[in-house]
Amino acid sequence: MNIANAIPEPMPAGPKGRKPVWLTVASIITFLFLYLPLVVVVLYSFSATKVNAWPIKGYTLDWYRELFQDEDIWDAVRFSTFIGIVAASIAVVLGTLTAYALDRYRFRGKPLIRFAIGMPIVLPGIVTGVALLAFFTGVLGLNLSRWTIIIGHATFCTVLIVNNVAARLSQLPRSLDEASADLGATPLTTFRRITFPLIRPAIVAGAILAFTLSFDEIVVTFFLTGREKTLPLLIWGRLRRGISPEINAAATVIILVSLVLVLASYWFTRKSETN
Amino acid sequence: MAAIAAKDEQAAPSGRKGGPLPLLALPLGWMLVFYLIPLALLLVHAFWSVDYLTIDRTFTLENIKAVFTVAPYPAVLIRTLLMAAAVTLTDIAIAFPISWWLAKKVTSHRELLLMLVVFPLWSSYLVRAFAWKTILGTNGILNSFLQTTGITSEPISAFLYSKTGMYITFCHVWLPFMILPLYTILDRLPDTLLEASGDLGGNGWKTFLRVILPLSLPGLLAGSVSVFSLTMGDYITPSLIGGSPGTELIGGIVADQFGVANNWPLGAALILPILAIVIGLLLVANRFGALGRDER
Amino acid sequence: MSNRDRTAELMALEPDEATQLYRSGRFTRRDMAKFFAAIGLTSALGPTLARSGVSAADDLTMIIWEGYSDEKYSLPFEEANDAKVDATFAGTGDEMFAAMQGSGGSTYDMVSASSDLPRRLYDADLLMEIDPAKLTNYNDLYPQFQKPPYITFEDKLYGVNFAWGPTIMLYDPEQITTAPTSWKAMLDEANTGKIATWNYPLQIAQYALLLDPKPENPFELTDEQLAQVKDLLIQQRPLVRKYWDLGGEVAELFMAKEIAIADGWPYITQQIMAESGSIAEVSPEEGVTGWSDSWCISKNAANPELALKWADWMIGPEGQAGIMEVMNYSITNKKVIETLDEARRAALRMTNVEEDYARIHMWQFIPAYDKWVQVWQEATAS
Repeated sequence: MNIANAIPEPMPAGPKGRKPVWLTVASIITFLFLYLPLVVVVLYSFSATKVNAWPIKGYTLDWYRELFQDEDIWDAVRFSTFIGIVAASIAVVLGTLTAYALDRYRFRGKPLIRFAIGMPIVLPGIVTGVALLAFFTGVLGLNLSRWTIIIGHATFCTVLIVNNVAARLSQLPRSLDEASADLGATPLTTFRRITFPLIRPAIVAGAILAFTLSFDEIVVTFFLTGREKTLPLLIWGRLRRGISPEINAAATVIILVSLVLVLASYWFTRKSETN
Repeated sequence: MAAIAAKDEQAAPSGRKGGPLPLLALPLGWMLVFYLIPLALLLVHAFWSVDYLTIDRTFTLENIKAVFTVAPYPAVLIRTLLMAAAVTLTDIAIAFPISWWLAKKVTSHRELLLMLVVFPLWSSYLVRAFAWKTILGTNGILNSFLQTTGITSEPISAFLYSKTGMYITFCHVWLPFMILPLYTILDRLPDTLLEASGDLGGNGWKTFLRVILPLSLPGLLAGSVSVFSLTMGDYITPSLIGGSPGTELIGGIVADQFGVANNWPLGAALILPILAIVIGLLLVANRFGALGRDER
Repeated sequence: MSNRDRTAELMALEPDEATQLYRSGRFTRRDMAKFFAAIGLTSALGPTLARSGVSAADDLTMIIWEGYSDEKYSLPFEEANDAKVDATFAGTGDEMFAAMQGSGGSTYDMVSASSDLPRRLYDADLLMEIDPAKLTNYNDLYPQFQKPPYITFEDKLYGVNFAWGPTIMLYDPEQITTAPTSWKAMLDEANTGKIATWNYPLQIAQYALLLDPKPENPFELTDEQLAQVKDLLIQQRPLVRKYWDLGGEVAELFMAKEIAIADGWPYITQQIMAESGSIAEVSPEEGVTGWSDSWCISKNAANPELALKWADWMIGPEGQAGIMEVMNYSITNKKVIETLDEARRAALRMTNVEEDYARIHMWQFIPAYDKWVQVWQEATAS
């Protein structure tokens, strides 16, 4: 990848539609840079040799066969799915409440609240991980379990819901609220009848993203995991060992699932915007 | 936190009664119990010490001192800062053209293209870091490419298990974090502004330096904070791509204090400079409006 | 989960329905409050519930050296006991200790502790005492493995010694044509960028064998000797391509021709040969360090009986045969060793168990270990 090609040069101040060739070329190279590793993983998942050397000598579906027979992987997939659903659900509740309060009320300290909610995702994951580890086991004397993972995930997923829902709320005309209030509806009724249906797609889109983030997370999970392993932890354990070609196959499946989820989230966001 | 939330200055124009506290109680309570308090307690650990196998809870500044004086911690900290800075600058350089292209030049399928940029962010980070191991190896794709094109005659082993390898991997895995905020801000720049600069005789460079760059600063800073912070705290890439998993960067040393060396107080002390730097960057970014509008 | 159900329920309601519910008094502010309170309660109770143990009783979790849970011997055990062996591989004994202590011994039922580790686990009050009477194969062990000092504290047994072996030097004969004979090859500039060494502070002992004069016991180093080893390690740092964590990693490094020489275990040779890679072993002239591994059981193990059964299985004929075949390690069951022919015994470095064992500098507990960790970090970070 030639990074030097992508160094910014003067931006021509022309009207939209004038496309300097170098800009398009740089963008295409950037796309290649972004996707090269994903393509490599998919390619090697069909490689017949165990060592990932180039060029690929021979193709096989063995790793997929191995993958689908690997009970440990499927246990981990089920476990990660459970964690993702519970963590995303908690994040939905926490995030929607926060976004609604931030959008509909006037009070001091909003930037501080935004900052606090966003901290777990802005600060390095390792900080969240070890802080919760020390808190749960060192301070509270609890055992690590699925619940410690869920709490960690819900904590850093909340901001996704807040952002998604707040963005949608800010697009909604206040006049809707006012009209509803004029007609004698309580704030709760207004929320139930007017606001919630309008932000529902944004909540779903955020929840899908939160699930995806939780499903792939390793940095925080590493410190909070108990007896059961999430999929990324299982993969990490095998990657550390080196030779594990079935991981390329597992990774390909993960990429496909993530793609479907992101597309779904995108679809919900669009639905939210055109509603 | 609760006190701040309770300060309900005045009711919103829509005639809302009561404050936001009932709504915020649960999320703020959660953040307090499961994030802010643990974080504070972790930092308290930095002032304790380890006595063989147990934590001695007498106040001491030994660990803090160690972070800045005992080898290898200061050197690794500086190395990590340099790496984070290099990755951030590179990602700015890569992100600018594509963000500009997406925001100002693309006429069709823009949303799809934007989604394509974001997608790698949601595909497993672990998998992408691992993929680079395959690409950068002595017999990997990059060396194979360089040799077939005649750029090098021998395979270069320094791509993998090295700082070069970590640098390339970091630049890749964090790139979408830079493109997204940059695109968002460039998208909002009115075309008329750029035309005006052109009309006033500003050439491309001048327009870029005097108009576009200052105006895109919030996006640049938002992206930079993310990229910098993620590099500072990472321990997965050093482990897979670096030569010395535990001591390449500060994230690895911290992870090892908790996962291997079992010295939590030292680990907590090593987190202090990371926290200070990232929060410092956040405050700077905030001054330039990178963290969203302040809608009081 | 109740959270999800309730959220789903809320989401499923159409505005009109909700209004009706509200008007009819079925959906009040109090209901909402209850709903959120319920969620809060669930979140708060989560960790408490978790304490009661979520793992199935027949699930045996262990943190072990790579390979010690190979299907060859774990599958028959699982079938015989209707259990599931769930192993996590650790790169070092330190990692095992941190994993055991970090979870208060609840995450892992067992640990395959080498001779340096049980002392620390015992001092941290993490080990369960083992009653030899419950082990059917215990009396078949060589006397020296029945109650060795590294697993015996206050005259009580805390481990089941099942395997031992050396850390040797491995090299790729295709890349290094003259067989190296000394650990000095690991510091030879001719091998720059082709060296991998184990990422473990305990390895300081291995490099201490190069000191002149050679320390009598490489695990009991004076501060001066420690400083000398540090110099060696700092000198070695630029030559090292990778500090490795797990055995499989070394095998992969050799097979991908990323390295030409490394320290490692016979298991690694075994793995590479199984893939018909190019590899050779050397036992360097300065001597070798090595380990003697025992199954230790966590004081807070979910199923201590099952853990005992596993330990017993691993010192029994099937387990011991598996250790020899899969791991290429020496074993501890006298009866099993006596059934082997001379060639096999020689290949597994146990022609005369007592003598062969004594030739290896076996890992031992290091009181001032934090100094070793410090030296190792400084050297590998340089």
